[in-house]
This record gives sequence, C-alpha cells and structure tokens, in this order.
Amino acid sequence: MSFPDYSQKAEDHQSILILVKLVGAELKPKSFGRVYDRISRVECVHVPNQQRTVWMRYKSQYPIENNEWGDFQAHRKVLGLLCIGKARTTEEMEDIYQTYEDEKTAYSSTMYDSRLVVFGMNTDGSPSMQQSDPSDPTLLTSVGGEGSDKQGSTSTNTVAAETKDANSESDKENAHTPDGDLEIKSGELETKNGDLVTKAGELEIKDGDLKTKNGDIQIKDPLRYEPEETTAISKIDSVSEKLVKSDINSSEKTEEKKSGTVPGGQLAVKKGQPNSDSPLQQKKQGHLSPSGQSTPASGSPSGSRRSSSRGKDPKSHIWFYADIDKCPDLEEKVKEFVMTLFWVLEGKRLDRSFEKKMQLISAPFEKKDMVGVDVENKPIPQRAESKKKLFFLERAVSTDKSDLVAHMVDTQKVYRKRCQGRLRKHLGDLCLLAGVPGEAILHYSTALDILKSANDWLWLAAAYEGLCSASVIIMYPREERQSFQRNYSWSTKRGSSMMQEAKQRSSAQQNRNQNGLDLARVRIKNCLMGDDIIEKYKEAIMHYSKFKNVGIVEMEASIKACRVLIMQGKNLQASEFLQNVVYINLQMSEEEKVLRYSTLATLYEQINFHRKAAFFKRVAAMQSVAPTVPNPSWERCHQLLMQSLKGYSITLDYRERVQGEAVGWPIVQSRVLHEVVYCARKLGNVPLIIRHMTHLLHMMHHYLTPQEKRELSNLLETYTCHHEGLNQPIALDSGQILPAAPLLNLPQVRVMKLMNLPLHLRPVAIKSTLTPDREQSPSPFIYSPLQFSAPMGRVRKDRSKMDFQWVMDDVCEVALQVFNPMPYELKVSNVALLTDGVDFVSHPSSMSLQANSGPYVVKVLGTPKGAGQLNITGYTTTVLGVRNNCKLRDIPRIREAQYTVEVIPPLPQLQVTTSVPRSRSYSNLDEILKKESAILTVFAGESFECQVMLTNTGSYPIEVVELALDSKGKDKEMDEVFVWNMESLQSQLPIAPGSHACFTIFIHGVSNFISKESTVIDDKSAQLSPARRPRSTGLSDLSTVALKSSQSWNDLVLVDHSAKIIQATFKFKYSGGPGLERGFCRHCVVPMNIAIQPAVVMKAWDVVARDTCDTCKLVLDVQNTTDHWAELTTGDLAMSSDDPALTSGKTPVTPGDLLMTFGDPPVTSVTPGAVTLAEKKTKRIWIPIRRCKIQELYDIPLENDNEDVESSEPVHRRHRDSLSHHLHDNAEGSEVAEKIQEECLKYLSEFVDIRWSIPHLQKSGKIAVDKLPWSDAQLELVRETPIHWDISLNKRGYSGEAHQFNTGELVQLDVSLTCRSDFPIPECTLSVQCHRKYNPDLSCDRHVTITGQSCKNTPELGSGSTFRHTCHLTFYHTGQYVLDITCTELTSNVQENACTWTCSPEVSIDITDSESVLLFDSSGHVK
Amino acid sequence: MAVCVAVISKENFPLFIKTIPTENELKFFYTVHTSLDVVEEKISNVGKNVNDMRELYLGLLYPTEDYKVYGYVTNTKVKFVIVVESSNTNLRDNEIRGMFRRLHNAYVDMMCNPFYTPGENISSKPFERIVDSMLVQD
Repeated sequence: MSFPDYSQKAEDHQSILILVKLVGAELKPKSFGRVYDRISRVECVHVPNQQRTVWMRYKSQYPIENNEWGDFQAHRKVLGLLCIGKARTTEEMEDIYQTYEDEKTAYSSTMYDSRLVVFGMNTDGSPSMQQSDPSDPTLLTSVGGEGSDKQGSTSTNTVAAETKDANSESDKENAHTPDGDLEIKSGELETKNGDLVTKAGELEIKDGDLKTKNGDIQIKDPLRYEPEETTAISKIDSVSEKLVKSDINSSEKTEEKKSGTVPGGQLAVKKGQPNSDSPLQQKKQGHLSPSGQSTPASGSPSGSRRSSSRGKDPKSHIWFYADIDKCPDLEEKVKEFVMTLFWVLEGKRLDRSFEKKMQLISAPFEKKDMVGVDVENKPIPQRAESKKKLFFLERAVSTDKSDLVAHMVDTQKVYRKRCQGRLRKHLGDLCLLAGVPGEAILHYSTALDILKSANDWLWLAAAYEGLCSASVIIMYPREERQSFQRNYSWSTKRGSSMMQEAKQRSSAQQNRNQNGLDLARVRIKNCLMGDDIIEKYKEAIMHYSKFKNVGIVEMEASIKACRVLIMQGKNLQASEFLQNVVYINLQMSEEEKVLRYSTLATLYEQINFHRKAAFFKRVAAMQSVAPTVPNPSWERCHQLLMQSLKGYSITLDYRERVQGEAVGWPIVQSRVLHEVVYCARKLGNVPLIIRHMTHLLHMMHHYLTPQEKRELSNLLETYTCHHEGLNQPIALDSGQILPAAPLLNLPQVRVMKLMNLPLHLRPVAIKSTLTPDREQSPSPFIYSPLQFSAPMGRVRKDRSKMDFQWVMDDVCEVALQVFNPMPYELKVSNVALLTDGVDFVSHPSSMSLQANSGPYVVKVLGTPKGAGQLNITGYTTTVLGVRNNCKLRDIPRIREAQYTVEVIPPLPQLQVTTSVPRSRSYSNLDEILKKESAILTVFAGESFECQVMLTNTGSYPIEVVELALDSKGKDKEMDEVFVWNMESLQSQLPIAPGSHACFTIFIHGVSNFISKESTVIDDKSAQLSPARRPRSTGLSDLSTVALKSSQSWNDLVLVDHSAKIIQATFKFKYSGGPGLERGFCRHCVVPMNIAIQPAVVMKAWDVVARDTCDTCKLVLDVQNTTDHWAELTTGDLAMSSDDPALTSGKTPVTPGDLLMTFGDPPVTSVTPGAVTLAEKKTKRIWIPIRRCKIQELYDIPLENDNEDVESSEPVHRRHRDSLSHHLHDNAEGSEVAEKIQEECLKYLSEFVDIRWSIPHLQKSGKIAVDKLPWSDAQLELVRETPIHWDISLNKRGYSGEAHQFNTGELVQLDVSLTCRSDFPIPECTLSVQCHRKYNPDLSCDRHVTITGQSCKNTPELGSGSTFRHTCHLTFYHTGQYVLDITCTELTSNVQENACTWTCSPEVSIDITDSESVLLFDSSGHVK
Repeated sequence: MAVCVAVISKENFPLFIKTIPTENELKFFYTVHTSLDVVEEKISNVGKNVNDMRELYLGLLYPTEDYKVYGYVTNTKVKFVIVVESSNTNLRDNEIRGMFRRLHNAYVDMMCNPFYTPGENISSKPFERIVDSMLVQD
C-alpha cells in the first residue's frame, strides 16, 4: 500500500467504503462535486427492524493498491461503486457504460455491488435530446417495479417474481431473436441465476442455521474468477438489454431491418463474446458448484447475489435523471444501495463455512513471500532498519531467536493458529462494518489470544487496532450528522468542530451512563476504556513498526490514535503520536510528503500546537518546491506559507498589530516573511510581491538590518517601476484576502498639525462670542461647581477639534513632522491628505529625506471646496513606488483618529498698499517684527500724506471695511499722529473683485519740541518764574515745581534727541460674500513705523509779562538740531531774536536778564516774522502775544465766591498754596484747574503759529507751542486775569518801568480794580506791601511809611464795575523797592482757602537821594 | 552540555537566546519556538488547580533526532528552554534540573538590576557568562 489516507479516523473501521466515480467527460467536475456532496451527506443508514446502523464513507478516488489491503483490514475494501456520468445521446451512454464496466472490473475483487447514475437522460433511459420514443408501458412499469422491489429482495416471493420476470423477458428474446444459441445460453444462465437467487434468499431467511450450509473458503479462485464472471454477465446483460431495447423500438420490424440498424451491428459484434464466454461461464459455474459442498452455487453468496440481481434486469443498476437538480430521490436510492451492500456483508459475516477450512488470509506483501512454497514457516521479514525510536514504548516486545526456534518447531500448529486468529480478526472487521461493534470486540479478543500465541505480530497489531476502533465506536458513539452541523465548517478555528464534536460526544456518553440506558454497551466485555485504548494503540503501533511494509498502516494508526486523543482532549499525548508519525520512514513521492506534512500541521493545530503546526506548514511548503521536485508548485508553497503565518504570530492586517509591542519571534518571523516574498517572486505575481514586500518592510521594520532594508527597498523599486503598488486588498486564489499593507513607517509621521490660516486670511467672527458662550453653559446657573454636561471636557481638551476655521476655496495647510528611519535617502511623493466630510482638493507634494534623519516639517496643502465640517483622517504617500493610504488611527504616535476643522463659506481677500515705501500688508505679526520695515521719517511738526490703496484680490466683493489703529504708544498721541477720513473710503464700497479703493491718511509729526539739554533750564525757569510768589510758601513751592517738572519729564522719556519712533499698525476689518452672511470677517494689517525727528527744538521757554496787562511775551530758546539751515516764521506775530549765549552765558534765561532785556532788547537781528537758524545753533526769540481771555472759567462757582479786593497794584495772582490745597482738596477744583490749563494751551496752539522750514530738505513744519511743558505760573501769565489793575503813581500810570522818586517824597498810589469778567468778584481784602527788590524777606518798615490804609476790604464787584483805593507812600532811604499789591478773597472759611490775585507786573520804584544825580529818568521828572 | 539556552518572556517572545553552533542558529530558533507549544500545553494543564504548587521544571518537552529539549517555567511564566544533544547520554535529569536552577538564579539576579525593564532583551554580561558556562565547551 503506497497511498496513505491521512483523513483516517478510528470510526472509519466501521464504515463501508463506497467509491463514487466520475465517468465520461460530459459531466463537469463541479457538477460532480455537487452530486458527490449530496451523496456523501448520506452518512449512515438504519437497518430496518434492527437497532443497527450502517455507516458509510465515500471516496472519489481510491487506488487499487489500497483496495488490496482489504483483506488485512476490511474497511479498506471498496464494497460499493457508484459511477456518475452524463449522457445525452445513446452513443454517450455507450461510452459511459463502457467506463462503468471498466471501473467495475477494477474493483471487482472486493466490490459487492455497483450502480451507475446517469444525468441528462429521461428516467426511462431514453436520450432526452432525441425524440423520446413511445415506450412500452409494461416494460416501464416492470422496471419501476423492480426498482422499488429491490429493497424487498429479502422476500423469496419477490425474488421469485423477478426471476419469472427475467425468464419471461428471456422468453421474449427467444421469440424474437434468431440466434438460438445465445438464447439458450442466456436462458440457461438466467434460470441458473434464478436458482442462485432463491438460494441466496434462503440463506438470508435462515440466518440462524447458516452453519449447516457453510462451504469451503475459496482461497483465491472465487475472487480471481469473479471479475471475468461479472464482465461476462454484464456483457450478456448489456446485450440482452439492447435486445430488449431494439425489440421495443421496432416491435414489428423484420429481422433484416434489425440487423441493418446500428444496434443490430453492435449486437452482432457483441454476440461473439458472449458466445465464446458463455460456455466458459457455464463451465466455471459447473466447476464451482461442485466445489461447494452443500450448496450448488458458488461459495460466495455475494457472487450468486450479484449475478441474480444482474440477471434480473440490468437497467436496475442504472439510475437515470434528467438533470442534476432534478433527482430528489437520489439520497433515498443511495440508502437503498447501501442496504443491498449491507445485506451482502451481513451474509458474509454470518457465513461460518470457512471455519472448517484452513485458510490463511494475508496482507498483500505477505502473499509474495508465500507464493508457491510451503506457506507457513517463513517468518515474516522483520523490518531491518528501524531507525525510529519508539520512545513511548518502554517495553518493546523482544523477538528472540528462541522464539523463532520454537516457532519453527511448531510450524503446523502455528499455521493453524494463525489461520484461526486472522479469521477471527477478519470477522471482527466484518462485524464492525455490519454495525455490531460489541460482537467485533469479542472476535478481536479471541483473535488477540490466538495471534499472541502464534507470534503473528502484524495481525496481532491489526487486531489491537480493531479492538481500539471498536472500543472507540462504543465509547464515543457518533451522532448522526445534522444539517446544522455544516456550520462548523464556517468556524474560523480549524479543528474546532472536531473538538466540539468530541465534547458533544463525550457529554452524550456521560448522559447515557447516568441514565443507565446504554450501560449495556459500555459493559461489553473486553471493551477498552479511555486510557486503555491509547495503550493498545501504542502496542499496535509498536508491532506495526516491526514491519517495514506496513509503514503506512502504522502511520494511519498513529493518526487515528491521535484523533482519538484529540477527542479525549489529551493534547500532549496526541503530540507524542504525531511525533511518531514524523519518524515513520516511508518511501513516498514528493507530493505525498507535502500532503503528510500538511496533515501533520492540521493535526497539530487541532491540539493547539500552533507553532508546531506552522512549522510543518512551512516544511510542507518547502517540500512542495524542493529542488528534487520536477514541477515545483510555487502556488501551493505560497498557499501553505500563508497558512503558516498565523502560527508565527504574523498578522497580515497591520491594524491588528500594536506597534512597538514585541510579538512572536522577530527573527523567525522575518525569515518566514522573506520566504513568502521569495515564493511570491517565483510566482511572478507582481502585485502579490509588492504587497508581501511592503508587509515585510512594515512589520519587520525594527528588526531588519540596514543592509536588508536597502536590499528590500531596491528590490521593491525594481518591481514598482513597472507596476505601481496599489492599496487595495488582494484576493488570493485560495480565498484568502491580503489586506493593504501601507508603509506607515516610511516616512514616520510623528505629529500632524492643522495650521491656521495666515493672519491676514484668518476668518474672525464679527460678533462677539455671545452665542458660543451660551452653548458652553446650557445650565441656567451662571456658575456651578457641578459640571453635568461635560465632566471631563474641561480637564482634557479635545485636541482633535480645531478651534479655528478654514475658509472655503482658500489654500489650507497641514504640517507633518516626518522622520526617515531608513538608511538611505527616501523619496516620498504624492503626499496628500485623506479627508471626509466636505469636498477637499489636496495638492500633492513631494519630498526627499536624508538617510536616518528627521524631523522634517512637511506642509501639505489643500483647498476645501465646500462649507461644513472637514475631517482629516489620514494621508497618502507614494514611497518606493507603492501607494499608501495611512490612516491616522493606525499611526500609534498620533492619538487622534481624525482631526476636525470647520470650513466656513468663502470670504474676499484684500491687499493694501500704501504710498509709504515698503510698508505693505504683511501676513502675520512675526513677519512684521522680523522684517525691518522701513521707517518713515517725519520731522517734528511736519505733516505727511499717505495714500492707501485697497485692492480686492479675491473673488468676492468686499462689502464692509473697518479701519482701526493699533499701536503700543498712547492712544491720544496716536490719534494726533494719524488722521484719516473714513467716509471717503466708505463711499467707495463695495469693492468689486479686482478693483481698488483709495483714501488718505495724514501723518503729523507730533512732538513736544523740547531739547534734551533743556532739563535743568526747565527746572530753573519754573523756579524762577518771573511772577513773584509769596514768601511764606516759597519752599514748598519749589519742591512742588521740581516734582512737577520731573513728572513731566518722565513722560518725555521717549523723546530722543535724534528721533522718536512710533510703531503703529492699521487693522482693516473687511468682509463680504457668503462669509459675511455667516458673520465672519478678515483682518488685514498694515504696519507703519514713523520716526519723528526733531528739527527745531526748544531749549528753554518762558512767559514774560509785558508792561500792559493785556499782553505778555513768549521767550523761547530755539535750537536747530538739523544739519541744515532752518528758517522760523511766526505768521502775523512779531518776533525778535537774539543769541542767548551772547547775553547770559551758559544760563540762557534768567528772569533778571529777561526783565533787563525786556524793555530794551539787545537785538542782533530784528526780523519780525522770520528768523534764520544756522545748523546746530540756538537762538532766543521773543514773541509778544495777547493774553488769553477765558470767560467760561468763571462759570465755576468757586471763582464766583470771590470778593473783589482793592489793591494798589494791578497784579493779579492766584495764591499757589491755596490753589494747590484746593486741588488736593477738591476734585472739582482740580478739574477746573485742568480745564483752565487746557484752555490756555489751546489758546497758545491756535494763536501762536511758529513755523519752521528747511529749504535744503524742502521740509517745513509747525512748532506746537502748546506741547511744551508749561508750568502753572507761566500759564497764568498767558491768561488774562478777571481783575484789571490800573495803577498810577503820583497820577502817572504805571506801565512796567520803574518810577523814580526821591527820598522823603510823598508818592501817591492809586489802585483801581475793574472786574473784566462777566461774573462778579467776591469781597476781597486789598493789601499793599512794600519790600526791597531782590530781598523780599527783608522788612522795610523803617524805610517806608504808608499813609492811609494799606489794607482795605473791597465790596463785591459786579461785571464792569470799578473799585478805587488811594494811599500814600514815603520812602526814607534810597534803593529799589517793589510794591506788592494783592487782592485776597474774604471768605468765612479758613484763610488758606481764599483766592488771591496779584498785580502784575510788580510795581517797582527806584528811590534816589534828593541830591543824587538821576541816572535815568524816562518820565522826565527830576527831583 | 547544552547547545542552546533560551529565555522566553511571558508573552512568548524571546528575551535571550544563545546557541553554540552559531551558524545553525535558525534551526534552534525553530526548535525552541515550536517547543513553546508543549510548554503552553503543560502549563495550561496544571493551571486548572490553583492550589497546586506547580513544579517549575517541566522535564523533557520533546525529543528530536539529534536533540532533547527541556523546559522550565518560572512562576511569572517566564520560560527557560535548554536544548541538549541526544548523544550526550550522561546528562541526567538531575543535572538538567541543576542547570535550570542556575539559570533561574541568574535570571533573578539580572532582574534585580533596577535598570532592567522587564520585557527587554537581556543584555546582562553576568547572565551571559552563566549561560556560557552551561553551553558546550569545546
């Protein structure tokens, strides 16, 4: 036996083997497969009226060599033959029939019965294609009747009837056929057969006393002769059948016609054979008949039976069906067929005729040894080299020589025993097949005893095996297969159905035991229990192993034992048996080796040894393409390798694998994957190669050496350059599906970041985010510590949602951080995004990455083509010619499965250009800071016009534009620097796509025009204000002034001598189109850097009172800081200038100087209205101005309370102390003071118009005097007082110059106060005091006598009313005196709160000795 | 002595494997890999009884023509596999046990290293030295 059956199970000992063969070429293998499936579903048949079940197994191929082992183990015999074919015409039918006959011959030695199934014919056997002939109804019925009767062949009557039928038929033949010889022969044959049938029937009836009729066992001849017999008979059958047919077809036709037709010709041809054969047949039968002692028929009942059945009607062996789909009774017929087989078998089983005959049944290889010679004595050759180690058989039975000697001695006895033992064993086999395992066990046990003593090891082993099988059958009874069990084949895990079955069966067994119903079965004597079965199997295998010719039997036994163990759930022991299978050394073809290894793999898988299974799968794969194999089947190799992958924990689906986690054995895995790749390459299936290679590259990425990586990549590229690697799953022929294997690691993407739009394109919600706020807190409470809606929401921000928007039709960016882990330069192309949701057009990009480097930031661009939610789920790449779809969820480094961004409807785009050079609109603020934007230089006081042009570069009209100024400086200052008119722009809206709008921004060089060097001077000037301050408060005065000035200086820190830089950005908010409807706009930013360069600055400044109360003079030290000549003009105001350095050295302005020069200025250049300043030169200019009238100030009630005070001097001064007190005390007061100051500054800015121009630079500007930090005192001078002082000395009006008097002279002082404001001045105290000039603290009571009231209360002065006061002064000593005339408000409050006005300028008097010479007498009085 | 010593993690991937005929490494890899089936089977059989103190030494896993494969499983399911040559008949079961005990001790010492993360490949020199001492010397 050279063809092992790897599917053997212990239960197969119980099954009748039926060969189902495809005959003829008409039936397609697929259709045959369907029929085969249907037939093979008929697994078992219950014997009617008996508690027995007959099991079947079917084979579509069965080698005859195996069939020959049928004697050794009965289940290896082919007992039944089913041939299936298709025929449309009679000719085809002939062919099929011929093949059928051949098949029958081949298996005739063992076969009990056979059938031919023909499709495509009418049920009566007529060709369906042709015009169906009107057939004889009687015949039809008779055929049908026979068909149905066949199962009832047990009854003698039927048989008899059949025989009659047959006889009648043959009678008919006799009547019609002229060939008498044949008629007679066949007729005789039929009758004989009929006899035989009767005998057989008797046999069957008298089951019990068969022993009386048992005949000789035919050693060889019945089996040998039978084929000829059968063929002969069948041929006769066919002939007779045809005769019948022709008879029917042409019932009334003549002989000549018949012979002329084709069937007639055939008939003629065939006639010869039966003629020649028939006598032989008769002879044989005659020869045979006597050989049987009690029966006239041959010893084998089957033979008689067969001939009988055949004889009665050949048509009953053929089942005609019109179509494969139209054979509803096929299963039933198969069952009937099986029953006929069963009855033959049963007959054989019960036939004990052989017991008396000594006959040695033998295995095929034994026969050769026994041919001719004295059979018995030769010891069966032991297997010479038994290389394998039966490690589990500790107690190997030793075959000593002594044994052999004993054997030789007692040959005859031994031979007898062997015969008996083998017979018993054979009987056991038959019992098993016939469905009585209990009886089989008895037979086996007997056989064991006999064979042991006969040292017949081979058969002993077979008996052990049979015993085991029978025990298994009893212990684990099979359940009849139910239809739903087919579902098991769907279960993913191989072998699971078997395990499940085992469970079911064992549990069923337990139940039975508990119920006590089937205990009888279990208690069958000698039946083996679980572990014993295995023990006996071991023994059997051990004995088998002694013979080298039964390797296959041994192997099958091992496999059977293994399957039993699997059923018992003893995996480890099962593995031992499998291990043994590996060591059985068999000469087998390469093809079978593959089969063997894959069977081993399957079995290993069933015992959960997945690694071992994988190993053998791989071995099988290697075997199928071994160099010794002439036609290596790479396809099969590939298939097997693919199956082995699971055992090596290699998943084809990259998703199942968690990155970074070590799974399985990398070295082994990469080896296997390499093999798969190699195999695929041999197959030449390019997509498959690419898929496997990418899979290998991806999965084994961490374990491949750089060299391997490089080689693999190069190889991959050679394939992909012709054939692009796609990312669809590939379906293999085996039905397996290879999922896409994207190269997620090439390049490695670690971070994916959606970029916001550039600043100038970023959409901004127009309205404040009131609605989203509400959405965030749906609860009615403003604040609640309980977060019902999103408990984790606050803690973990959803990073997959973007908090910005993209705009439809605008190019958006996604930044990828990529690494190249490969040891070579990686070229990646077609990098694009995978999205869903809104339509998205990706703009693929390419990159080239250096070996082993990173990170690189790659920007992938795309344009959303719709509004709504856009999900970015991954990216695509083309690497090494393979197209990859990389989903984010598969990339372990990126946690989010997708990124979501909202796309809003499209918005217009605005571009802003200005006439200021290089001051364009920038994309973002960083860029502004980075780029050194040009600085527009503006001289202080200069004005500049900046043209701004707005261009709509988008494709939607701009409907709304807003402009806002954003700067770091003080807003107020900015508003002064930049001035624009929005209305002119608004009138140009909307801006259509591609068109422009223009407007102007005015830039003013705002500055305070203070020179850096003026610090000290400023203090001094404040200190030495020309207005005399009260002595009592002088010190505190000083400190406050100093404080004030320093404060003001702090504000001026920005002022640089060279330039003051102003950084400002213009923010354009614009919107339009659909985006506007959604409430979005865009910002466009234009930065402007303005440097305000001082051109003409003030080094010092002061206000000097003039001789009249209504005017004063501004004294300014003007410096030209530029390198060019500058010209100053004062418009319609007069101006005089001199060089301060000339007059007063380093301290340019002192009150004395000013006063000194006031009256008679040492004018160097008197050019009213224009002064020229050389570069870097300083000049002092004098500008007389009218005092400022401030009417509205007296609205303030504080002032209203004042009483007018009579004073001798027209100087009005507000008491600083009280004022400052007032300021601190009263918020209203401070407001008033500020207002007053503002008014004054406003007056100065309006009234004093000093302009400079630098002809060389063609620049000009205006000096804003009001920007100078004037002190309060100075401002007071600028302001017109509410009281008009009119002072005259000795009736002479005082106008500022000192009057001269002699000592002792009586000077009359007339002071008249006039209220100039619209509001009355409250009651005041007018006081006149005198002190020496430059020495105010020195009392001069002894030098002067005041005659009259030095103090007088004044009544309330209405508007325009005047109060006069007169007193006289007499000076005793010479010197310069000053009269201090003040008017202090009388209030009920504390003194300090009162307001004080002082006459200005002070009245100065020069007293000379009466004798002294008058140095200067402007008035002309000389005393 | 041994020709191959392997340490396999709980999740059945190799932590350490060293063979003596290094040119035939892959063969041993396959051998050890397939032996894991038997180890798993043996563990799963015992595991049903919780109270059973499992014997760490698993004994002969399976014999091949030229080699014998022995297994040992720690309580944390770390597997040790030692392959010896079949021709080496003077190796008794006790000696194999002794080898495993030494291997286990070495493994424990190696685990005590705070810089070793369980699951990493073993690169400890002392451990390797002990393994070397167990491998065939010639």
